[in-house]
Amino acid sequence: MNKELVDKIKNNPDYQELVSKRTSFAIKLSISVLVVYFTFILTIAFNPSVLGAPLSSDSVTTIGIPIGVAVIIFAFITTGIYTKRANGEFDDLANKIKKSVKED
Amino acid sequence: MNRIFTFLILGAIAVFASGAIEGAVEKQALNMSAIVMFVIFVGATLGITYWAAKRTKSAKDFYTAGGGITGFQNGMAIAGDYMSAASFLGISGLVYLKGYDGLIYSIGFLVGWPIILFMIAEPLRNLGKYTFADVAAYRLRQVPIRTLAASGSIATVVLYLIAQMVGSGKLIQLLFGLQYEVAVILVGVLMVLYVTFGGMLATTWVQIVKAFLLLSGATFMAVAVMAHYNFSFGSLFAAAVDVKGIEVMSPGGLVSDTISAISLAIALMFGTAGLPHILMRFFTVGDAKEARKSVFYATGFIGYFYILTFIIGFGAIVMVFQNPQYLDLAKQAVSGGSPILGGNNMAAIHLSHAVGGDFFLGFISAVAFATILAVVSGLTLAGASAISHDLYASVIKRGNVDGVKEMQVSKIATVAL
Repeated sequence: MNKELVDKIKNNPDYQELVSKRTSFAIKLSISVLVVYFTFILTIAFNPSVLGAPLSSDSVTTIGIPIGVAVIIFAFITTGIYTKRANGEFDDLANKIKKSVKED
Repeated sequence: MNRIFTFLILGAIAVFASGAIEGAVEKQALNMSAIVMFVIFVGATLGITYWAAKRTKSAKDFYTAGGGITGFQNGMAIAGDYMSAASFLGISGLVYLKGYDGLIYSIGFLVGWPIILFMIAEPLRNLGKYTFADVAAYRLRQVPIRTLAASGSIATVVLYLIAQMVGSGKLIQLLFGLQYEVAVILVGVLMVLYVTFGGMLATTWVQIVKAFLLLSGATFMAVAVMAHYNFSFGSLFAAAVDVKGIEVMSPGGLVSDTISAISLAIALMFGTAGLPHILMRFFTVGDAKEARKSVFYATGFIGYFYILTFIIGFGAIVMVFQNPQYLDLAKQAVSGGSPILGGNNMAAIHLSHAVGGDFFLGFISAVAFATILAVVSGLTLAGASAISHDLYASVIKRGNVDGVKEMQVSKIATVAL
């Protein structure tokens, strides 16, 4: 790849939009996953009795079980959200950049 | 469908032929149904390898299956790579032993996936290289960084391989009643066959088949456990509490202070990201779209699988813990408690017998062993690509690749023995 082409792509406003959007989107999702995960782990470390509380007075099922399953489902859903947006919006933008660079 | 049907018939014959498993302490009696299942699995996968060998023409085909795998298939293969024997036997064993704490491990393992997708997969995939060293070399000076990175990859692979080989030898000993040495040699030979002839296409399909079998087997076990309790989690958990006490339902002594909590959390999460055979899978698909989809599907399969292992672990608490058939009576006499035959990691295996009899025990054992085999093949391929592609980067020839790999494999087999 020559330098001229690299500069052309770098100066393309769509490219800058793509990079900033995708980076901030990836960081936001990562942070939300990490916050959920570390909240879960630190609750276990500091206050395990919160997760050990029974769902209702006559049940032995603790609140920790639906919460744990929810963390797994949450991780799955965030990958789904990212995949959908990256495969739609971001790829469209990337194709638009490719096209405009080739036309010039 | 056809294959499953064949399984059923041959398995049934085997069960009649072999009779029940004898509860020896060190080595179990020859488990015919498991061996028959396993032989069928190996036969099927060798068939795949043969088919793949005919289609593998270039180095690109060899390392990345020609980029022609779909996102769904690749997701299944990633899940297959990830759902190793450690996940299946280890996590269900941990749930069996500690109850809720097992779930914490599952969650930690799974949370790595979204992070990989958001942070690592995209730039790695865009570079379109085969190995980690390629990626580093893309930005840094070629020769030293390649040597360094390749050495790192190889060291990881060799250490991991030895662990897996020793583990598989032990497992075979327990499951099939074969000699330890015979078992390790068997694994070594099969691994060389898969990798040398089939390359990435064969290992991918072996993983897909294995992931499918493992998921079906685990689903069946979980459903059987739930059916026993009228599909009510409440009564399953209540029964488990009756056996092991209320502690199984809440987090126990797994993590008790900040430092160990955070370090465990990080170790679990990034353990995923570093495995070379998993990173390689981002390149077996055609484009970035499919690569993202494959991570999405993989996360789904793995999450589903971990929920199943959780149910299986609790099933084992209620159905194995109390059943003297599965307990190691000799050990119990010495140390008290309720040690199960073959250690806690065998909880899922015993449960399969409790819910599905000898036939299903054979099925699960064969799948568990095939799991190790498939992971070992994937790892060998990652190691082989590090050696041949990075260290002999200028002379990529198939002949060369095979020679180096076989040498490495035989070395590892010797060390493991």
